[in-house]
Amino acid sequence: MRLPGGARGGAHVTEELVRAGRGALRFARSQMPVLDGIQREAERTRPLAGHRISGCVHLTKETGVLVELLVAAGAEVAWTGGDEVSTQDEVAEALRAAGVRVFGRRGMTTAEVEQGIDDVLKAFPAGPTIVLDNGSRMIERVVRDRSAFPELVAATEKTTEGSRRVRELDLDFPVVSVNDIVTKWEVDNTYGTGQSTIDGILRATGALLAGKRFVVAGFGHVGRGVAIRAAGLGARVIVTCRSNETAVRARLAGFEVLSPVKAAAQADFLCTATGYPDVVTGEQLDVLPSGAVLCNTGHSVTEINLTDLAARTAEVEQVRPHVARHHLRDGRYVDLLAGGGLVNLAAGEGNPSEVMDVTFANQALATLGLGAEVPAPGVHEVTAEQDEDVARRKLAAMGIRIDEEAAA
Amino acid sequence: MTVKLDTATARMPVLAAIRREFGEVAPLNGHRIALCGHVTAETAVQVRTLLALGAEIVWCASSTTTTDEEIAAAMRRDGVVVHGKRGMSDADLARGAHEVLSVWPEGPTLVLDEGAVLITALHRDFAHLPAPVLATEKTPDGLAALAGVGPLRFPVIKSDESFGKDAVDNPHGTAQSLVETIATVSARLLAGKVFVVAGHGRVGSGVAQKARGLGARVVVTEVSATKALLAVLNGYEVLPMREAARIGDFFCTVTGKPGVIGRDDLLAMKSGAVLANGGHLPWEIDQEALSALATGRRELAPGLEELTLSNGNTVELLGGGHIVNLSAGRGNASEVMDVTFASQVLALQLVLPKAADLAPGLHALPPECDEYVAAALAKALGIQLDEK
Repeated sequence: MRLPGGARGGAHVTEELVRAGRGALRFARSQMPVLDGIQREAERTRPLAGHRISGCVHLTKETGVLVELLVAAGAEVAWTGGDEVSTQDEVAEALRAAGVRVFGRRGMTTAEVEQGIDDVLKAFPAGPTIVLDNGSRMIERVVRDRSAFPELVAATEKTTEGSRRVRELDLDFPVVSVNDIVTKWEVDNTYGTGQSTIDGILRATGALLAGKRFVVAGFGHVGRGVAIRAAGLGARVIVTCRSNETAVRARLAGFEVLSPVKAAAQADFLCTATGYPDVVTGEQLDVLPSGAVLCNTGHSVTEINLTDLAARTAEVEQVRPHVARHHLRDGRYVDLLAGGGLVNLAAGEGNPSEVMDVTFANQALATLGLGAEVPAPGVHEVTAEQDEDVARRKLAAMGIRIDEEAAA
Repeated sequence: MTVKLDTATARMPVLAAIRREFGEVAPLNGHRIALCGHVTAETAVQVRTLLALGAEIVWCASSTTTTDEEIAAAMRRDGVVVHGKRGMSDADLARGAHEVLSVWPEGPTLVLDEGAVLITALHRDFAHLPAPVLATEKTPDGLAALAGVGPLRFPVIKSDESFGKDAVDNPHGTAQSLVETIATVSARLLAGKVFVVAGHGRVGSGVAQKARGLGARVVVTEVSATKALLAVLNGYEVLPMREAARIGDFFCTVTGKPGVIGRDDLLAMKSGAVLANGGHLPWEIDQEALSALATGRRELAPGLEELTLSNGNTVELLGGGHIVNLSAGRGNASEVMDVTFASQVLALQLVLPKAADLAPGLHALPPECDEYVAAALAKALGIQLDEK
């Protein structure tokens, strides 16, 4: 049996996967009350009836709940994860069993990932009417080959980098950017990634943070979240950053701010959270105390320069899952977590479902809104009203009441 | 120089950096500046900086109650025209603004405003004067007032919306100064008490953090769901005011909105609750309701009044419900005002070369002003970003 996108195995394996996937989706849904509430409304009104959606967002159980919402809202849906490792096969299988066209599986090659993106765009003979993107790759393909997608009316994009790239395109359809809003920046980045990063580090190392010197490179939303949480666990936090404005903010928040080499020279932990490549290079690697833990929670695997690390490494020993002990030529060792990739995704479980609830609620509302009204071509930010709406739904789900705005 | 002025000067490193760097070039040479602001040591340091950059300057007070006579006298001795006196009337205040705009036949070329007093006058009684090249307004209230002025005749820089206000003044300077005043004037222990902060914006989140740091259990009230959610994720209890009113030992309003604590809230409070307002206007605690409920009032200490309410409970009101750190406390620290005032000075001198290209109306503070302030402040704090 060959399933779309190449899931492998016999019928009994598939059945087991479907069962496991449904369980995972149910569990995620129990942590995602906002999305669940939006789905209940959409089931009645079916604003996406007649729409065909091609989506490209990491296929986790939380994304699965979003996909179920889109189906419940009346859309036909095709999906791919858009990266090599994040697709949860059991979730993919459960969605396939529910009629969603899912392309891809865990452990794809880069070529297979690209093929998945093409497949999901071609899943419908007449092409999608709406594209849900994460990193602008589908949107870019649509723009390149616009005549192949005559019925496409709109798209949404949910990453900072993707939104930036989409702005440079010549668009004859609208793209809603679900990005520059409080519920995303603060909830997802500061609280979600802040916590899951510390979680990943602790799961990987089993170390005590209290009393340790914890260096955070970068003090944006993520870096600040990591710093606050590390300090909360008793670590002495040192921040390194590139701009004076950020440095002053970190310092006034009570953190020590040092240059990268001075900070590295006393680091028990060094965590990069900048979004830029080569934040940790040979300069810092040469002064790290022996036994230092090195990890990254920024955008990609490039924040720690692995070539510089390899050049200093005599031997690599995998001492625990996710912990590669690099025995350096000069006798020191450093523990690299998750190969320098995203420590919260690799060693932890990524952002908690409750956080993705908020992020995806924004994407869901933006997409459902497209069923009612299609804005003018070009990039549109999610409105402050929608931001408030999502926050209000989250507070209600948490049982928290606030004051009414006084009548003007 | 007075000791006060001396001390303020030493604690305002960003303005010092501006004097050092630009004093020789004197980029404001030949300019006539009309300035409206509190007559305090910190504004005096700003005025001295503007003089050092080559400008002529006249100064009127922006408030009837905040003028420091010693500073006014010291500045007059140095030949600066200062209109302002502690306890002056509102009419005197308005007259001061008019005199400042009447000093030069051609009017000022630059305006540093607070509360849009001078800018408004330049569109009304002084509309006949040539338009100044550039103006700045440094309060949100002033910016709101400008909306009622009609089309502006000249460019106005919104120096309120700056890195300094956002990162230093509001969350740390004003927040510390509010909590400090509340603790000192009420002469109470914060640890173990319930401290209710109305509003979780830039100032409110700072107040919450600092009150928690002193051991209070902080409760936040909000009307915005996004701000309330951030407060929740910061670990604060969030409640509607009516419920917070029942459990609060301290109340601090920082919302910018009227009637945040109303009649029913006052009646729900525990006896002995301490009330303070940290917003600009004295309307956040409903004064009318409070007066109507009060069967007796007495002063317990300077800035601290006890009111007996109709239900027999008492509440303690700080600073008469006016912005408490200014009316009953020491206000912002000099080093905080340094950052705010430096943004204004930089707005003038960095924008001036291209002011002719600016359309009349409101303009954002250019990013290079923020960068300059942040760099000077980082240096003053001894921060080194790269290896040296």
